[in-house]
Amino acid sequence: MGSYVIRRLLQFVPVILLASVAVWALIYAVPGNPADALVGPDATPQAVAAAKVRLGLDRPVVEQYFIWLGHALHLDLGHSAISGQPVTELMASRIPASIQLAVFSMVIGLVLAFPLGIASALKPRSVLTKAINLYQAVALAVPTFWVGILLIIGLAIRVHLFPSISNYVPFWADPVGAFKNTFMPALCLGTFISGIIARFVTASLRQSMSQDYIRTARAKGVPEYGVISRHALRNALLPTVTIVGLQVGSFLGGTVVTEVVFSYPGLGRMIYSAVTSRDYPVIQGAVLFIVVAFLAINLVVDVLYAYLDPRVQLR
Amino acid sequence: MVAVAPVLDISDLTVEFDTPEGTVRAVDHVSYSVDAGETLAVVGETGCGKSVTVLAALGLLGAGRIVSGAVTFGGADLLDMPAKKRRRLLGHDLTMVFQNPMTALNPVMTVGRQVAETLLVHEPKMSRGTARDRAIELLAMVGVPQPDVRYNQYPHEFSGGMCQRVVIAMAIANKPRLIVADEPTTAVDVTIQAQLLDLLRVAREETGAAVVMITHDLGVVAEVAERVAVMYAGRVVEMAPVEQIFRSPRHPYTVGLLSCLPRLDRDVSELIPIPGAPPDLRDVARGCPFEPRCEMSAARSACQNTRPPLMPADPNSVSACHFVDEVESWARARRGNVEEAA
Ligand SMILES: Nc1ncnc2c1ncn2[C@@H]1O[C@H](COP(=O)(O)OP(=O)(O)OP(=O)(O)O)[C@@H](O)[C@H]1O
Ligand code: SF4
Ligand SMILES: [Mg+2]
Repeated sequence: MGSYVIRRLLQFVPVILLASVAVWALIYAVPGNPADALVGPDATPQAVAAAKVRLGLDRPVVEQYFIWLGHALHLDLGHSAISGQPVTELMASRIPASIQLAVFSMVIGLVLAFPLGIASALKPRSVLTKAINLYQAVALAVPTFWVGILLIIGLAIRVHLFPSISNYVPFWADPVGAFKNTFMPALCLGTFISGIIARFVTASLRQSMSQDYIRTARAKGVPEYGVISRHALRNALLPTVTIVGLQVGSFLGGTVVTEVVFSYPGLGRMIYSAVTSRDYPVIQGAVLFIVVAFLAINLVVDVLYAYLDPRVQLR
Repeated sequence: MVAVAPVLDISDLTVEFDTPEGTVRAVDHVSYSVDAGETLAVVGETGCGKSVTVLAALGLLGAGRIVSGAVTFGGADLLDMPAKKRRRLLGHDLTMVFQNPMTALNPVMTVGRQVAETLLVHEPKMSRGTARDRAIELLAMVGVPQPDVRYNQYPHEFSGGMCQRVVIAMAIANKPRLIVADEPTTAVDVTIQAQLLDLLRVAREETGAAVVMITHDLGVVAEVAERVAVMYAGRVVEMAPVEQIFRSPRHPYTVGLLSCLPRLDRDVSELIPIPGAPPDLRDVARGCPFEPRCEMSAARSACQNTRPPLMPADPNSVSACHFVDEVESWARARRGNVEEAA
């Protein structure tokens, strides 16, 4: 297992390098001078000149890449063209906020998805299942920003249950404050993904309930509860893990719309303002982070999968 | 024969499936019973309803609907019994060995825990340690080598034959009164089949259980069974003691099955099908279901228009053929012809 993880981490290197080339080249794809793009439209000539020196823009292009990479490896991704703040510093303040929102959302998503998914798998023709299907369709179809606005109007403005602007309050510092500030955006995202995950749970549980080993378990006299929890669910979890992992990955990249609606200071809102203000260094940093986060989540999913499925050998 | 109360008694069981193409009557008024300690073989071509009959009887049918019939186990009504009560019997007094051992075990649970579960479900007070020790004993009993190591392995680390040993271990764990073995050797290597049959025989001797042995294989029948029920197109067409089935079958279908049996100079013991195919179970024809393939019928109108009921053919056997009295001489003549031709 340990050696598997190390080998996988080594496999990440070429992927990340490739991504880094793309991120670096982004600046050259921007019309105009790369230095102008990096320091922003309102920069002084001195700042532009400094950037040129720092990035070796007078050197050959390949060398420029390695200079940039060298900086990046030292976690120096330049400065925001707008605020002048170092990009890594900016991201370091946003990443925990995004992780916290992702975790809250996933908890809500799973808490909603599993009972619903299980119920509709077990009673495919019941009224409850019809209601669940409707819920899933609505959860998927209704845009999160609209749910977000409704939540703000309902729970923040009408009754003052939650703040209408969600700040980042670290969970370990103030659990209640963290809950108050994160609940509404997390509910938005959580209900949205609960529709997707519930569908997966239903499909894979139904699939495993029709397998031979379920009949064996029943023939052994295992009560229905045990048949489902010990035999069917464990098998049904396998495909679900993958989809949950993918969702977590996409959350870590920031959830732009939700964060903007709730003014939540996560990566998503950072990306949003960076894009609208053409803050290229920040965009570069965010893209790099998203790539790394996805790779890491994938690794976690694979390890988890191997843990859940003894047939999978981590080699 | 002394009248013993049967352990399992299936009477007039009819099972239907609703499919997009119409209703399939997979089991059509099937009756058979097994006495304590007895082995009954159920034979017939694939799709004739052997599995559906027992699955319906034991309440393990997924889809499908029991249209009529009664099933008793040790005198208690299995079909009307509350599920909870039936669960206390299943896996304890009444156990099953399945056709495909590779899929019958849960792939993500260790083999040992699956055996231990059979014990724990019926004796919740048993400690996990005791269950584990008992499970290891059982694995040793069914011939799993290094049972304490194998206990912690998963089904994919076992061969088909080994998986079937595990399934058999679960089936005998609680000293059942009846073991239903649904083609226990069909999916494994020929070399393993004999070992598994031996194992089942030992298990049966040790537990004193009655056995319903479902099989394609008349070789298996000859080896293990005391009585045989022959099924065709969802019905029992003949039932008789095993010597009599082989010596003087009383139904043309059974005659056909037996003539497909390999002779000593051939070594395949699998049935070679009788020419023609079983009827489509969707259209319930009026006459004898075997009529289209029956060499003895000669298109007589009784065969085409009236369904032959299962009737006593002689003191020991029943047969569903209008012309049951002709079967013996017809079979003899047919055998003569075949040998002449050869
Ligand atoms: N789930 C189902 N839906 C529709 N029809 C079914 C279903 N299960 C079984 N059948 C029908 O019931 C008939 C009997 O099936 P069954 O499994 O009892 O045959 P079998 O005698 O056990 O055959 P085999 O020797 O291949 O195991 C089949 O012909 C099939 O058409
Ligand atoms: S009833 Fe007629 S068709 Fe049916 S088995 Fe007997 S002879 Fe053949
Ligand atoms: Mg079968």
